[in-house]
Order: sequence, then structure tokens, then C-alpha cells
Amino acid sequence: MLILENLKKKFSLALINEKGDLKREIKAAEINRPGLALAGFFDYFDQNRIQLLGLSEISYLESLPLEICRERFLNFLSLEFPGAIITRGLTLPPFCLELVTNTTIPFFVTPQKTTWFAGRLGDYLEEKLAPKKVIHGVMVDVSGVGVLITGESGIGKSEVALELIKRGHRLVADDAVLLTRLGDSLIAEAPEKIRNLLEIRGLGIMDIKHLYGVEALKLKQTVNLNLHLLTWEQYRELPRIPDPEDGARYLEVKIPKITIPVKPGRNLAGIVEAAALNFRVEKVRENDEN
Amino acid sequence: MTEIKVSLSRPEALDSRGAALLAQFCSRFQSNITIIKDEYAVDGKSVLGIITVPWHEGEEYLFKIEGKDEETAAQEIKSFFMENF
Repeated sequence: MLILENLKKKFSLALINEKGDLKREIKAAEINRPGLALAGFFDYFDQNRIQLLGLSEISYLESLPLEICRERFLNFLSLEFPGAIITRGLTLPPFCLELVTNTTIPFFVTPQKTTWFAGRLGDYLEEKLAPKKVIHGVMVDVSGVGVLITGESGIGKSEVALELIKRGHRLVADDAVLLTRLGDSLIAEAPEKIRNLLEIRGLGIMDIKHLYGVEALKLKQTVNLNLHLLTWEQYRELPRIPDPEDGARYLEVKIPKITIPVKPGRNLAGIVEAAALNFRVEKVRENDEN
Repeated sequence: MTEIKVSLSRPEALDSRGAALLAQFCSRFQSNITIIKDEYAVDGKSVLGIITVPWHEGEEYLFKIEGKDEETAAQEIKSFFMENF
């Protein structure tokens, strides 16, 4: 859950009204500049959005006759949005300020310029409120290609990851991968509690940072490819040879998927490397064609 | 596929040692075991997977079990979980 206190901390905002409730929740990643609402037009006003008041809103309020300004501002406050931020270190007209001291909607001020601040705030909110999911799999960065290795327990995903680390590639997450959807892409990272860790059955849990150094790790990586491992038995039982075009879907994002049958002793790391390089070559070719 | 719901009464028992015990117990079975809670879906046979799940007292957790021995696995895991955690 994202609350206004997180926002205050992240952007070092100054709270204007003591009564402002910092526990209020932010549910929308979009930001609103309330010019139209202050002008008296409330249709389609989204109450879940953070309100951003810049130079134009403040000077508009100042330009209004006192009574109208009071009424409009009261109506604006009655919309119960999560919170409002005033940019450029501006101050509200005195009678508006009075109304703000009595509301529990937190009002903040920041010295930053409006557009620049709106951009940063938007990026932050989008990331914090993005759909997330933790799945069973191993995530590695193979020569810059984000490979998500899936397949059932004990098939050898972590062993492949270890072999790939030995070959100079980097581990993102082992056994549990936290996926976040950002726009059209899928970002993978390790859940905090298991960051840097890799589990090999029989050996136990190993700290990769300790064993191989920071070079063997990557914090975040876009998922480019899904390699699904199957036993030969399962592979033979597939109704047909899987088409890479079918793809896998995580959080509504489609990722190219390759299914690979596994046999003990088969050089899987080499196969993963080849698949990643193949993916890169195809991307380069696509780029050249465009 | 068989599903069981368990409720956690002793979250302190599910530390890394507890997670290892649970993973070891789940590994006895041939079936695939997935532990599901909110946006989490992790492998029941993996210590790292189990550690990742936010374990809170009184909350319910879903175990999805799929495979040849799923019936036995479901029963035994349920009693193992209730006994230890």
C-alpha cells in the first residue's frame, strides 16, 4: 500500500497543515492539475489522483473575487482527493490557507518546478503502483538478454544459473522472481529477503555476492525471453512441438517462450547462452530492417 | 489437482530453519507443490521460495498440489503444517 507519508519522505515535501492525515492511501498513478475544478467544472474529476498546484492554479485563485475563490476552494476540498502538492515553493492565498488548516487532506509544498516535478512524481507513482507478482523461476542476465528460466522443481534451473555465473553472466533472482509490469515491459528482480541467494539441492543456500562478487549479480533486468525446461518424458507428451510465437504471458505482457527438453548431463548453460545470443541476433536484424 | 488451505498459528516457527523443514517435507512427494498467497506463487520444495512469502499469524495460505501422489501429499502436508506451524 502506498500512503502519503511515503511520498513526503521520497520527495522531501513540507506539510502545510498539521491536521493532514499522512496515512491516506494513493490508488492512482495519474496526477491531476486541478485548473478546471477550481474554475468550477467538476465533471470527470478523478478523486483518486494527487493534485498538483503550480503557478497557473495559484495565480488563478488569486485573481478571483474573494467570495468566489472561497466557494470554489471549498468545493475543491470536498472532493476528498488523497493529497495536494504546491510547487515552486508558492503559498496559497490567505483565506485558502485557512481552509487548508482545517482539512485532513494533506497539503504539501515543494520548491521544485511543476513540470519537472510532475514527471518525477509520475514515474515514482507508476513504479510503486505497477502490478506485481512473485513467480517460481530463475532469472539471469545472459550477455545483456534477460532470460527467465521456468520449469518444475528439481529440473535444474538453479544449477544452470550457477553454471551461467561461472561463465561470466549475472544472476537476478533464484527460485522466486518478483515481476513488475512497467508500460509494455516486464521487469524482474529478487524479492528483498532472498537477494544475492542461490539454492542448490544438496549444497544448501549460497550467498553469490560472497562467493563470486558483485559482478555475478544484477539488481533488475527486463525479461526478454522465457526458457521453459521440461523432462524428455514431458516433452514427448506435448501435443505438438511448441511454437516460439505462442509466447508466455506474465501480468498481461507477452514474452517469447522456448521449450527445452532436459536430460541429466546435457550442457544446458551452453543452450541458454545460444538461445540468448540467437535472440540478440534477431533483435539486431529487426533493427537493421527498420 | 488438489488444493488445501492452511492457517498459520506460529509464524516464528517459519524462520529459515522452518522453511528448510517445510521444503524438505514437500520434497518427499513427486507432485508439484505451489504455495499461493496474494500476489505470491512460489515453489513449496524451495527454501528460497518459502522464505519469500510473507508469513503472518492467523492468515490463510493455499497449497496447490498437482501430480500422481497429490491426494496423499495434500493430507500429509496439511497435518505437517498444522503440527509444526
